[in-house]
Amino acid sequence: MAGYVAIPKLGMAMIEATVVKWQVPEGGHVNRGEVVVTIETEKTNWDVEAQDSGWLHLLVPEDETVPVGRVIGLLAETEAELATLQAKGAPVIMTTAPEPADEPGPGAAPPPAGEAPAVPGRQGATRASPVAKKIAEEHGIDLSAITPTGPDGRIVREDVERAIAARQAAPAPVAAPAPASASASAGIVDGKRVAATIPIKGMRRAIAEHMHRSLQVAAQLTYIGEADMSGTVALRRKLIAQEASLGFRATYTDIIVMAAARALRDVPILNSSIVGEEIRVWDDVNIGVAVALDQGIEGGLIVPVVRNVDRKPLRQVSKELAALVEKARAGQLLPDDVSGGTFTVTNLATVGGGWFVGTPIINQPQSAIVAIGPVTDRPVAIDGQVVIRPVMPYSLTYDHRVVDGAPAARFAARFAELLSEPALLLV
Amino acid sequence: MRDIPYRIAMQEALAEEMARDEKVFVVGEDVQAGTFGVTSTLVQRFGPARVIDTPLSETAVAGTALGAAMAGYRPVADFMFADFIYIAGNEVLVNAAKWRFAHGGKVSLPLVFLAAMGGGARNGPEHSMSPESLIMHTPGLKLAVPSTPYDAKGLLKSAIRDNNPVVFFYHKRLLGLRGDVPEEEYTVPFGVADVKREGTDVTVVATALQVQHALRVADEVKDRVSVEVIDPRTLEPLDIDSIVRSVEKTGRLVVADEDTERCGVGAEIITQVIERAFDSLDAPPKRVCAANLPIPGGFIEASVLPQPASILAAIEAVTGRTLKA
Repeated sequence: MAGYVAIPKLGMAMIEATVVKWQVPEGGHVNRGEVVVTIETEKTNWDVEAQDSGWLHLLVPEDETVPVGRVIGLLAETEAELATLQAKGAPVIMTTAPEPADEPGPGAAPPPAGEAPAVPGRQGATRASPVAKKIAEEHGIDLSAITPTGPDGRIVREDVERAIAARQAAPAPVAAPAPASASASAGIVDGKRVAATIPIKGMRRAIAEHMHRSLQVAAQLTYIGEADMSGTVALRRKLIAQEASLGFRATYTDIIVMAAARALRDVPILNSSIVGEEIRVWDDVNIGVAVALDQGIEGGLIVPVVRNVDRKPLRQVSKELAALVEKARAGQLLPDDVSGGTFTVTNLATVGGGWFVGTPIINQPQSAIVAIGPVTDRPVAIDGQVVIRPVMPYSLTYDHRVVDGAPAARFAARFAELLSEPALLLV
Repeated sequence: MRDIPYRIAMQEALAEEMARDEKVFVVGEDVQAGTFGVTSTLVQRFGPARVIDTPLSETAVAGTALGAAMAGYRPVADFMFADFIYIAGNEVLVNAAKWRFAHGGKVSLPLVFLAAMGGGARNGPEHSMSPESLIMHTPGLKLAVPSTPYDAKGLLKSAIRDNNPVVFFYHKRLLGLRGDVPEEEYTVPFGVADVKREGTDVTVVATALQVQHALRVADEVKDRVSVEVIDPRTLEPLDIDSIVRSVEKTGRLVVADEDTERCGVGAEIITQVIERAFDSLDAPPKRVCAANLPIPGGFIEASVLPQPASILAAIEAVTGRTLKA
């Protein structure tokens, strides 16, 4: 058998995907590198390319949702082999064990002996012998582009040596092959010296795809305003003074998340998603809070979700958020921790200095996101007097397909009012 | 150079060392007659005081040798079957192995435990074992497992001259094997592997009878795969450097040994290679050993013991090539 088509793991939190459209029909021929199927995850649609050439036998129909690692199609080397595969029907084959958080379901059966295709032993790992890996690394050869000929479908030294010879025979590529991970790579490209080369994969790829797609699918515009934070600053000061007896340390983010949740209850259209031909206005107010990760030169970003913020006291929101941030930084977030958000808050105050606003990009399939700037003392005219007040700029991006200007402005005004007078959060 | 059998090469080693050093003597059950022909003829030349027949007690044989070694002699104790070492386990594995250490180095134990290893003679489960891993696992014992007449003679002379306890396993099915042995004096040092056949595609490390099996298989497939056959000759000390060098060249490793597979010689050698040369491996190494079962009596022993076909199958597995004609 030439190979197989499996559900790839596209993001840390991805546990399953829906087969949206087979781009190649049953029994059709596909060449390596061609799109064979489009799948849908919670976050994105994804075109899966064939890793091998062959005649396709479908194991999973369109619209079916299956776990990550499930083999959804087999690639036969010959038409005769295709007929054999078709005669066998649609066995359930997994390339990986189910996610630890996942209940083992009927789809998690091990491959039936004798007819399982050669599949990677570990998700994402190409099966190659140690010496093949070493030589490939030394020569900058991408193992995923090599057809294995070794025992058990493993790439062996000869395969890599053949690829090196083929590359030497072919005209020199424009750019050096990307190393396996971010690394300082000497050399000059287009007359510019290269400091590092970062492969677009893993979390970087997920962010890149997700952000680009969000701008493509939504009609986004950004409303910029300022909130008088004197009430919030005073409240936080009192809470900090009582920290020991209260048992938690309130942050501005905690109070801002609370205010956003209450404002969403008052203007619920911002707490919605487009699903198919409908707008779903959510009853749950689940606020995602963007957390920057320190992952070397390329950084990283993940958005854990605090659920039902509108129904929880500040103490609980604060504790849950603190726990999620800690898990995020430790890389221990589970799929449930990052899914189900209905609105997002991103706080750049601790990173950026001075007064600033931005144009945040909506976290699909939500309809709005608010970015928070730093609280700074600024002159404000009140009752004909210039006074100094702590002021916080905010930037509300919303999807005009769903939200019109008036409700967006109403939400912004309510959000600012709650921050100015946080006692209203008690109401 | 003469062409003589393995058994006679061993006999020559014993005779030469007994002539060279009057402290050398042989002790064991029926050693004057020589059950396997290894100690035969010695009594005619050196007399019953230096070729001592004992009652049927392996513990007494080992204990006699141990005491004599402590008193300054260089005994060669013959257990006949390697299986019988278990009876004398305390003398061999505990006392002989540890007493030099236990006495703070004040005693030397220059003694040799001789025993016939291996199956293939249809001797049943209690007379067919190759308990190499038992000896390798016991600190304080050296272990020689020769595969040719040349090595058998040279290693046995080195064993007798060694000031520490040496277990020397001769394989029952090699006793009649003929090979070149020089007329002149020589010894084979411990801890030096011998490349029995050079090759470039796969390294087969083999011991005792399996060396002969491996050489035969290597010759049969020589047009399709180039097999390097390495004989460690002594398993303690083990010349892992030579094995690693070969694997660095070939990228593929098979270890063929007649002891039981589990926790055996193959497991130890493969682990050491992985620890030292992981990045050189082009395929998962394979073991060719006795199955994890007692060795049956009669012809069905062949289904438990490693055969030339087992080595061929392992070479096919690590190279991914079909080699059967």
